[in-house]
Amino acid sequence: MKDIDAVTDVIGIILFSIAIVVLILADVLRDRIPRMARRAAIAGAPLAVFSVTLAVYRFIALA
Amino acid sequence: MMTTDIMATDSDTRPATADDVAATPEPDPVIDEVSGRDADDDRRRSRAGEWRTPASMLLYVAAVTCFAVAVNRTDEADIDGLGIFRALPMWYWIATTLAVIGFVWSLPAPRSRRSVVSREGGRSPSGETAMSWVLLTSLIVFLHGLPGFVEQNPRFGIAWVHAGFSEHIAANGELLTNVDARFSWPGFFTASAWLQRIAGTDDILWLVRFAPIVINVVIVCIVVSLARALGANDRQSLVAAAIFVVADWIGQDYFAPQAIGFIFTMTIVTALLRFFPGRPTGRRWINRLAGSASPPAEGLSGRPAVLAYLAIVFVVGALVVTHQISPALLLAMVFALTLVGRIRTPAVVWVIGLAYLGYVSFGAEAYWLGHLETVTGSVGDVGGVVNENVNRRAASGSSDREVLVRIRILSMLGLWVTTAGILLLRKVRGRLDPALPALFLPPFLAVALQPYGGEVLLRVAFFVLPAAAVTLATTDWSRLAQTRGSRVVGRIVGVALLTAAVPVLILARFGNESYEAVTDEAIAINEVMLDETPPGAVVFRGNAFSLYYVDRIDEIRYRTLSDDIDEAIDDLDNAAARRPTFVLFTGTQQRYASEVRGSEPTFYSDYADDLIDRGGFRTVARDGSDILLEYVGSET
Repeated sequence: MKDIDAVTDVIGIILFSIAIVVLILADVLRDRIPRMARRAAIAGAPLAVFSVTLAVYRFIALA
Repeated sequence: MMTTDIMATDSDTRPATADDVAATPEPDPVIDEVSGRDADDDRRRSRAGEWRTPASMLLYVAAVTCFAVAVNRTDEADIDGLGIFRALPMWYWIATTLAVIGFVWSLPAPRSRRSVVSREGGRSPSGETAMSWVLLTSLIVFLHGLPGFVEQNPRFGIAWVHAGFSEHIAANGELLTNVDARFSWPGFFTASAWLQRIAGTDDILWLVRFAPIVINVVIVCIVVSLARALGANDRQSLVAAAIFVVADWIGQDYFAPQAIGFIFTMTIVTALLRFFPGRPTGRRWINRLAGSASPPAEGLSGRPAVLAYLAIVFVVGALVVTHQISPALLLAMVFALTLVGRIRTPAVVWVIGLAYLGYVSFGAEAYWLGHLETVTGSVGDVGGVVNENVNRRAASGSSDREVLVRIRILSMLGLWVTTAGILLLRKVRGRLDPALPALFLPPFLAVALQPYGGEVLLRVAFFVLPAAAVTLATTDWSRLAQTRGSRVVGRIVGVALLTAAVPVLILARFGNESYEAVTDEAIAINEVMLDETPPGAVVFRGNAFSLYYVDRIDEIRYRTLSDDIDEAIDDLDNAAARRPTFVLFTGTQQRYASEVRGSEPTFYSDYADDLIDRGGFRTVARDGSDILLEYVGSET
């Protein structure tokens, strides 16, 4: 359990980035297009949770 | 504590908004009468204002002159166990007192809400506060820039370490994450390396000497802006800034990532409160607990809001690559602001959290890899963290040291208790803006997480200071005392309290100068060490209070030598088996040991003699307390 390959890391970084961008949209669109903002928030929540899970997994696997 | 006039926060003195203007009622006989009184007040203020600015200018010139004389008459050699305090001549105290008087007298008079609305649309003319800003800046120079004027070299070895890191990056373009954890958060170092390159200088030490002035000026601007976002008027905002200046003894505003981390954190919090303010309602349980009174504010909308939000995210990105602990404190404060409904962008909490976690996970891997126990081992151990932060600092040192520690702890606790008491009173009276507890309380959570090398309480004290300063500055002390003193009495009390806070600040902040000042001797022995040690050498020091990592960062490793000589010899033997090994004792190490640990004044000289008696040492250089030995191996 001491090895995480580079592909997993790249996927992780992309996942984090997408989650952050989607959540930014959720805030930015709140006043202008509320329906889109709600959708972004709904999409961002599982992405964020999955990103956090992945980070915790990396901590445990590598530490 | 300030008093009535200086800090009064009546509903009639808070800044007006567009809503207030729109809501101005039709002419009314009673209002006409009030307007007449306002006009009289304005005429009186106008007459007072005519002489206020020239008087403040005169006080400013006098203060600067006295400060120049004080600097000229201060001898660094007089620095002792109370730091720079006893070395300062009477001229210094006259200079700071004149600056305080000038600042308090230059403060704009509190305006009635009605006259503010009618004349300036909620804003005081900028010229009215210009002299206050000048005098506030002079206070920052006198108080936080003091060592830069009276000491031979830029102070504090850690600032030299940071300059060394920046210089290494500027020269080699690489991060040494395997050498020091701080390289895993390189935002500050790469920025200063870039600054060094465009300045075309050999190092960045030219910035280190007066960095506290620059940093405090920036912080004060943020505190004023934060106070405005929390409903304070010009006068209260400036008073909040002055309270921050005289209460900031924590010393985290030197050339360091945490200083920039603090600036970024408070910038983000202030921007969220100013541009995206929420409207809390008393119906939610959290607002019944934390209050729901907040100043009317609309914030931004449309394209400016998008640009402001993206700018905030950009600063979040800069923060997470700059400092380890600041993003966690930011996250706690923004989460609390969201929880109480004081900002209207709830997803920003997740954005900050993911940016922080993502960077720590992928970008700072070298730091936590194999050290997760160190990072997470103290989670929940509040007693252990407090013990490491307080008891270790209060451990037996010199009598002067005990005085300093007591002053620091008492001033810190005094500020916390006073602020908490005021927040509680406002809660009882239904006038608590939930943003204040949301900024004041969350940093204390850090105590439950990490001792942070025994410094977490200092970081907590630093991060709660803006909220505490704004709370104190926006308190109507006359109401608390059930009296309403005259305006002049209020100013006199304000001067007295700020003046009294100055020596406390000088003692608490610069009490460690006997070992935090960087002397010519310290630089000389460091240069000898850099000249004499081959690449790959390991240097054992009595303690960390000497220069290190100033140069050749990738070639020399540093360790701390045990005070137990047998244990020390074992460590030296182990090191010497693999690397060229040296022992470095300096005058600053000795002064630290004497002041903080209560060691004999010749402790390290005697220790060096004992080591030499054991055999296997070559004396490379020796001048008083500055000693460099090379360990060539045990003879036994």
